[in-house]
Amino acid sequence: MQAKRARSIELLEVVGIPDAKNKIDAYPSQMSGGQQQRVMIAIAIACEPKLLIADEPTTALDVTIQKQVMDLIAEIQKKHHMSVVFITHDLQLVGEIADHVIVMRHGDVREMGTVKQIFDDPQDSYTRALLHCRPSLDSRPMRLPVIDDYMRDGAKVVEGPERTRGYTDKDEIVLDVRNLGKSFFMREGLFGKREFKAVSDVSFKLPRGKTIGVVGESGSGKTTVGLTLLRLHQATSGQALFHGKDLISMPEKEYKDYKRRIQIIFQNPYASLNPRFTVGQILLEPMRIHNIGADDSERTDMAHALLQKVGLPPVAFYRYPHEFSGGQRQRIAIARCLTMKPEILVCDESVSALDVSVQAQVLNLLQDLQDEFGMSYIFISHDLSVVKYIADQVMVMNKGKVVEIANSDELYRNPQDPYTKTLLSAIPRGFHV
Amino acid sequence: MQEAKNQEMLLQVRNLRVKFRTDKKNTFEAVKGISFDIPKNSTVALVGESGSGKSVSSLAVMGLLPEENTIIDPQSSVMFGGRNLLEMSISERRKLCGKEISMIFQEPMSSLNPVFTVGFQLGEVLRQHMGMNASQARTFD
Repeated sequence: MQAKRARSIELLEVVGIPDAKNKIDAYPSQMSGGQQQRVMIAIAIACEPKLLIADEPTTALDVTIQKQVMDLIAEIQKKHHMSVVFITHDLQLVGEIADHVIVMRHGDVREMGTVKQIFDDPQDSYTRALLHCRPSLDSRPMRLPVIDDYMRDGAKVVEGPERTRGYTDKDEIVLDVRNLGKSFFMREGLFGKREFKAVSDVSFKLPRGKTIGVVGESGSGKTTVGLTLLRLHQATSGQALFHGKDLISMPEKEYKDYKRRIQIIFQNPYASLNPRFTVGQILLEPMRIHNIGADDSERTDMAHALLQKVGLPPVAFYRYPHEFSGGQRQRIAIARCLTMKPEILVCDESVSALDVSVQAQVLNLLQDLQDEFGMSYIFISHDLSVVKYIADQVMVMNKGKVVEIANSDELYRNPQDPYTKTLLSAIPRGFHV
Repeated sequence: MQEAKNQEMLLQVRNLRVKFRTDKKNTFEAVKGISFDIPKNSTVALVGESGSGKSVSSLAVMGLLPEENTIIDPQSSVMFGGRNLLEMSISERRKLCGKEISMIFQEPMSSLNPVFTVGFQLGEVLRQHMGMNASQARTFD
């Protein structure tokens, strides 16, 4: 038993688990996601395999943890002369560690080659599309290219004008959040309770027709900010002035009129749509509650118009959510929000679960809607490239506090806070850097 | 993979074709006859969106596809160490997988067993493949 235990401790040390001697007796639930993935890696390399297959090992992890895990796999590969097959949807991510790249689509190999060939001189149009559909840190086109732009025969994607972002002095402020705080209380002992500050002292302004990006790792409190503004959590302190009226302190009755005007799109479109409702019912329900439209026939017309707006066919009205793909479901969720013509839309990791090509489509849709209706977005995401593309101003959160807030171009060019710098340096940048 | 030709290959996938039975009559072809090589001592990225067949290909290499509704084309081969993995018996493959070829999955929360300590789960692999006990100590360099 002793040798096995000693070897296990050794393996945990190899994968960088601190205090391995004690952690060996821990249960998985007592570890963070990053540590759990390290344990998985330890199990996988326990017998010093010749081949390690890693299937999206970092997709569920934060960007800084992702970088640590990637570095760890690369280090172990070199040290033990293994071969690694790295399966991922993110081309930029593997650019940093792969020697060879195989691009697949619909069960076929589209292109394979060395990492240099794939990044410098991609031959296949799909490979090119994958490389360009992800928002990049260097440019911000008016619209993101989508896969179809590249897949059409002889299609040439022209580089359009760049979009400028950032708050200006002329902006009309819609939402002014001041010193927002949210604490959770845990029981401790017989009568005691312990305070956990999920969010403390968060202040920001949101102008009409602009987007504020909220970034941070899991546990930073970014989702709590969104939920508190919608009064899905009761704020502990602070104010949120919406056209001068405080959303936090107003009585429930008065808030009802405001509910319509601030809406949220959740992360997981598989969980946020009622599976027993048709899309039509999903869209009509909020309109009935908020007395939008004179009668059901008018509401039905409005629902059809919205489906068209988000790029779904009219027949979608009669279908159930499970008949749609992830990207289409997220459009349904967006359409549901639009039924109430909100002024502010909170997007909580709304594109994080989507494939690269679908992500570009949904981001384009959000941008079109902002241009057309002048909606303001609170865009919560851990994906810093997407936030750079969509946000005018970016707020970086860590452990419930705002560590930095600035116009996005400024923040990415010249980060001030050490935590922001760590986050930015962990963004995968593909083959070249 | 021009440069790869000079290198020694660890794994050679040839004409891999995987179909799933969707009902009594119909099948869905998830992987459509692909071939690729994994050179020794190198990192190969398999990139694609959902439904591209990248995970199915790797599960076929590991032999983890559900037997009851998977059809792997008899022309397909996955050569590892001079042997075709697809022609091995289940027990032979079990000896190989986890030892010579191992896998890390996407969701650590769902791939670790919540009722055992991490030490136990690590030890399980060592017990299974290394026949490890007190007398057979091994060190990791």
